[in-house]
Amino acid sequence: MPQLFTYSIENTEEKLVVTIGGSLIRKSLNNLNAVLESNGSFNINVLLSPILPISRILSKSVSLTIPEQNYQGEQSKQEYYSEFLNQSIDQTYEDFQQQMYQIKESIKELKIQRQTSSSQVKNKSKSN
Amino acid sequence: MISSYLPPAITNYMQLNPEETFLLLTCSPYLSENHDSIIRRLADNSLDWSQLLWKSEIFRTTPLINYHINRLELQRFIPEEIMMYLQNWHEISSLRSRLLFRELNIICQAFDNAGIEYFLFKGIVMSSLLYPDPFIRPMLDLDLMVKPQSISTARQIMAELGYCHALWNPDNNSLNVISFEQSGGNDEESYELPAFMKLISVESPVSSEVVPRTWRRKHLKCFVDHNGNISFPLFVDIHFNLSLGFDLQDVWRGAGRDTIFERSVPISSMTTMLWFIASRLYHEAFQFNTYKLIMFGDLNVILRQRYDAIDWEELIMVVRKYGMQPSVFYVLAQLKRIMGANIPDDILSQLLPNQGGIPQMHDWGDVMPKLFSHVVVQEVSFA
Repeated sequence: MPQLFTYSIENTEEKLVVTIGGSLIRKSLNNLNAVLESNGSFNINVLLSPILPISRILSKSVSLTIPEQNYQGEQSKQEYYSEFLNQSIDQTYEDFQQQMYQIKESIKELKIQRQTSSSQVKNKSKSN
Repeated sequence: MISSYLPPAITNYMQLNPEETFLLLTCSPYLSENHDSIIRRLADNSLDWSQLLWKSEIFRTTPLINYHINRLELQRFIPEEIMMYLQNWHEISSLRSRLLFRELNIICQAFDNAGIEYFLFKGIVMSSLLYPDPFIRPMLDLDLMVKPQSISTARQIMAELGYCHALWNPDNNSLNVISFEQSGGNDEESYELPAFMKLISVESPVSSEVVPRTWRRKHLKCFVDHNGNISFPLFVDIHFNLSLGFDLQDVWRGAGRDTIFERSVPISSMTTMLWFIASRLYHEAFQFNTYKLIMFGDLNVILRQRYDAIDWEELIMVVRKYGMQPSVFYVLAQLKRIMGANIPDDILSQLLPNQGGIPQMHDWGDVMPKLFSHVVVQEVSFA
């Protein structure tokens, strides 16, 4: 059976040598080479993520390539949609309290509206 | 040889406050009599309901709170605006689920007619098959798994059924159709197709004034207009793997059939659902900072309703193969302690991360302090 992933650590001449191997590592090395060739900064996650499928057991983030032209406003279209398409921190408690206050007020208003309309109906039926 | 399971030593307790206790217990629809009595006692002792509701939205368990309040007849303890909030949440969420169930029937019929091999998993299986009421678990989408060779046929069927890839604007209910490519369809590091969407409008059970922005944009994804109509973008996720790099035989092993709304449909194996949800709960908490306590409840439901269908040997094999011991161990160990879930000690023993070997990646320790944002500094004592 082919090995998916191997990992060893040796202490050689005061250097810690980490050796990784196996079929799952191929993609990681390709990613690493691509980053190094483009003189990009190396992010350890580039190396780690493909090794373990579990690191991707997450709700999928949506990646969009929408043309930005025709969009007016300070916030880009990408930013606007990613706000509710991707995983993000939920609202703060202060925001939630504000939301509850508004709902409370709406409920009050709706009650008043209902009372007004029902009393109007009663008055109409009386006058009839 | 398998050593007997010894729980890690506990040097201090993570003390939950009354609201956190209420939230943790109500994440599952099935509770013991002891848990019921704790919930009754807490409800009778002036909880901070605003704080509790806020957290329940983060945990995605709001409709379950409504369910337990009604089941245990606790309404008299709850402020009126909180009850209305919960009731409206339930009305919209259950309407959304109803529409998704209707779509499910249409999609399954079309896939069956085309001879596509598929199975259902995640929320749709949980809510319709394992929960006591299919409308108490919030559901934003349907999840189907297909074989990679069926992708093009599945895409064609979804288009024929009126689905598209689109961006829906919750502020004005407009739909911006985008191409497969624009929606990330050619992403090589993907294990599912871009979400399929269909916008459906029906008569609204609530008025627009009581639907807050966060429900429209995030929790319930809906738009209520001033003519009394509510629109839902219904999402269908078609996967061809559970994550990058899983062997498909591990994904498809044990998939079987069950009956959902009088229709025989293929569903994921309960063993796969167990390791997948446990691992996902853990990784989303630590990597995304999203605290989906509802998954903890889901796991309790699977173990309670389908314990006999769990193949523990298979679970151990898959968990070891992909290095998932930390995530599955910490979640199942807490499920056993807190909910009294029936998880054999020798299984936990085999899942225990190796404390004497090379540190395992993705081991961030116990998930409970993370889920409840508790700062825990362990007492360290010298030998």
